Amino acid sequence: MNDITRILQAIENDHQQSADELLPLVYKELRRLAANRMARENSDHTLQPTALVHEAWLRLAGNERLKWDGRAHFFGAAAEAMRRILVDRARRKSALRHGGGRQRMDLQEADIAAPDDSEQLIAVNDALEKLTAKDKPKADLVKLRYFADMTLEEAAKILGISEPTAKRQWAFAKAWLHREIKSSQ
Amino acid sequence: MSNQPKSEESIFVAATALPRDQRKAYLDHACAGDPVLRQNVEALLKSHDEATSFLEQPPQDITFTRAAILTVPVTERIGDRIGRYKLLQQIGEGGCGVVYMAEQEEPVRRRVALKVIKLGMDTKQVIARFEAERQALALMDHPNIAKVFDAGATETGRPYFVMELVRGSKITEFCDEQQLSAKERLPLFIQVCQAIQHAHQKGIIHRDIKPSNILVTINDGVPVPKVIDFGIAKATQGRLTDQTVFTAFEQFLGTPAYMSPEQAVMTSLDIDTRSDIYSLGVLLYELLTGKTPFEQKELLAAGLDEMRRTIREKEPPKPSTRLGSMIREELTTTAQRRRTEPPKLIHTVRGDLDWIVMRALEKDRNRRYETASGFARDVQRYLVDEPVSASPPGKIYLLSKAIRRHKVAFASVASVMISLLLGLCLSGYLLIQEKEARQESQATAIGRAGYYFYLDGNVTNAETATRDALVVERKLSEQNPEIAGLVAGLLWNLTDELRKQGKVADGGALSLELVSLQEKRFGNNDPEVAAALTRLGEFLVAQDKLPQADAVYRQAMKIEEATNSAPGLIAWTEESFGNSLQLQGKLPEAEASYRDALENDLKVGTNNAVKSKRVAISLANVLAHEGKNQEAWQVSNNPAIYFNLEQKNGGPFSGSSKKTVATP
Repeated sequence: MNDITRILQAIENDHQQSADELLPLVYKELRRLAANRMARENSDHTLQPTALVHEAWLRLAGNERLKWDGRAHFFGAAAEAMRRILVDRARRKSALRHGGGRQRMDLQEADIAAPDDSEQLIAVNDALEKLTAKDKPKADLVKLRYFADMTLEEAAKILGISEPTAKRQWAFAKAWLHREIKSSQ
Repeated sequence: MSNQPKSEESIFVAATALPRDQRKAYLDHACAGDPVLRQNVEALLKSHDEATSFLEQPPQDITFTRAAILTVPVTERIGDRIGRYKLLQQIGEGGCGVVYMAEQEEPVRRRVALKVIKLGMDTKQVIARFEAERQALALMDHPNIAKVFDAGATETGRPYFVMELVRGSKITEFCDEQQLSAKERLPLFIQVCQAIQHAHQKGIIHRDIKPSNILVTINDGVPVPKVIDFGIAKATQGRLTDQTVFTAFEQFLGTPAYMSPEQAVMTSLDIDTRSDIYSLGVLLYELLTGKTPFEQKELLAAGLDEMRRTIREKEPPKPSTRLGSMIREELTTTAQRRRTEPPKLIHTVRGDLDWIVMRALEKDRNRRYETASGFARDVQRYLVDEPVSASPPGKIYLLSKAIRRHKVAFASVASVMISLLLGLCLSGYLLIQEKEARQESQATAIGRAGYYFYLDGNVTNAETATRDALVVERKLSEQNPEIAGLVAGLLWNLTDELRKQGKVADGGALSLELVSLQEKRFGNNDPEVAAALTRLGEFLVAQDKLPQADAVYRQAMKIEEATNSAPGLIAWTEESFGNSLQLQGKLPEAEASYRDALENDLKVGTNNAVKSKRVAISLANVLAHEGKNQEAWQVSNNPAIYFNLEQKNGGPFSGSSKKTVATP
């Protein structure tokens, strides 16, 4: 049994502190998967967050017996981990563009360039942090939707809320983030 | 409405549920007396209306933009520095790159040739491959070889090579300009052979012998050919796919006309010194006739597959035949450049020179000259009118071939004995085995020895034994099908082992053997052949020879369809095929293959539980790449997969674990 599964099972058994241990492991797993893919795939491939998250999940599930609770925690952690990975890259890309872009850069870093919406990604993330402080459940919903590319239906199930509720919360969170980004520009 | 203060969220939610023309009246009421709240909610609603697509697409990050970086036109200028070299003058430009004359100041001041590679390539890999061979390159010291000093990356990330500066012209041009007769050209050619021989002795294969890589300079009035670009072809020929192959031919290899059959098909798994022998044969052909065995233009015009087929299968005309089939003006010019008349030229070439050239151009590399010096010796014999070793396929030729064959058989018996002795020292198993060996044929024994080595985990010895057994098997299997079966089993085990170890060249060569062995045993249309082809395909994929892999997989699937093969086999082939397609970005095809694979894995059931999970991962991945997230989700949650895994892992379902297979 690997560490992630062990923690997920601990969560199922109501050991709350385990949830905090989960994130770094999932984060590491996703980074490892991403690095593997990059090393393996053709240069014109795009790595999609969803693909990575699904793959990470499939690697865990099946071998071990996980209940639904563990799964919800996994996807929550995966969305959070994916957010960190993406924002991290966007920041680096942005720094590269604004700072000494002409300087020597590690080829590998240059290869893994964030797209043009890296600025938007950072802006969304900043606003999302404010939303987290104000209204964490909605921020979690956004993370699942935006960073782990879940459908509303999937996200609702993971968060344990009804679909209409998820829909309402999503509409509000979107408008709220949009307003926040506009006002800070 | 109550008097309780309302949150912006509840007002927002209520307002969005209303038709737009009723919102204002609602806000007037809900935000009465609180202009800040009103302003905030209005801003939210404005955002809501504007931001329909906002956040609805996941960030497309981790996009590889290597291509974009490489297409930025960056050229070096005279006076620029690359590493510790200062560019003085451009002295050449080919498809492959630009060559500069450059000055090195430290540790010695000297002029060098600096070649910057043009093609978009993985610089790190190129340099890594060069570094791997650097030690060997440094050992080369021959008057007819231009030294390679250094390699590195420019600031823009392109690989460059630093070589001894050679001022001269292409060997073919030099000979034509000087109007050297056919015979006068031969000593130059012999020197080239000797240079290649020297390199081969140091373990270096050139891989790209062609006129533009052999420059002739004049030293004290004596023409001296120099072979350039050693080590560069190997470093730069890493990843050829069908998409890049044409570019590669044009830009890199320059001329498919000089490629040996095993290089041209690119399914071949190992290039050895005999590829250079072939290219030397093409060079001699061109020196004699002014033409290559196959016309470059025709090869390129025919398309890739046809080109490969030609180089691999078509017998080129003998040099004298080629001369004889030229139109009159062409033949006259060709003869003039050799200071002679057409009939005399044809007469000179016909006979010995024909056979020398044709032997070097044999499709089967086992029948070419074994060494460059052997090739040179035969040319030398011709020059001094001694009988040459190359000969037409007459009785003598066939007889000599028979002798050669027996030599191999003889040698293999010796190696059988050596392996057996080795086995005795290394493994107790063989004490019993040795007794039986006296009674059984040696080939069977060695096959068994290989099998025990394999069981012992001694893959190197197992591999050696397998190869030895194969040599004998090729001769004896018609009388002894038992050996063929043994060898096939051994090849299966070994290729599997080599695949795990990532020894792709060895494994590929052995799976090729496996394919032909199974074809011999079972005919072309048998599931055993399909399985062997799939194994071969795996190695081709591992070597990045994806189009070749596809061809192999298609063949395998054709057989599987025709023979109504077992689902397990079909699943394996389809999955491997899917991997290849996915790597090529052919997503819809990959999706179809993975789906077939999954379907068949599930037919197999518990035994293929782990495989079906692996295929599901791949399939979900492809679907996600295609933007079909919902389907990806469904695939990743296919209850059948988890059911099988449960069965495999823990026997019957336990009550609590049933939830695992529930779809979300």
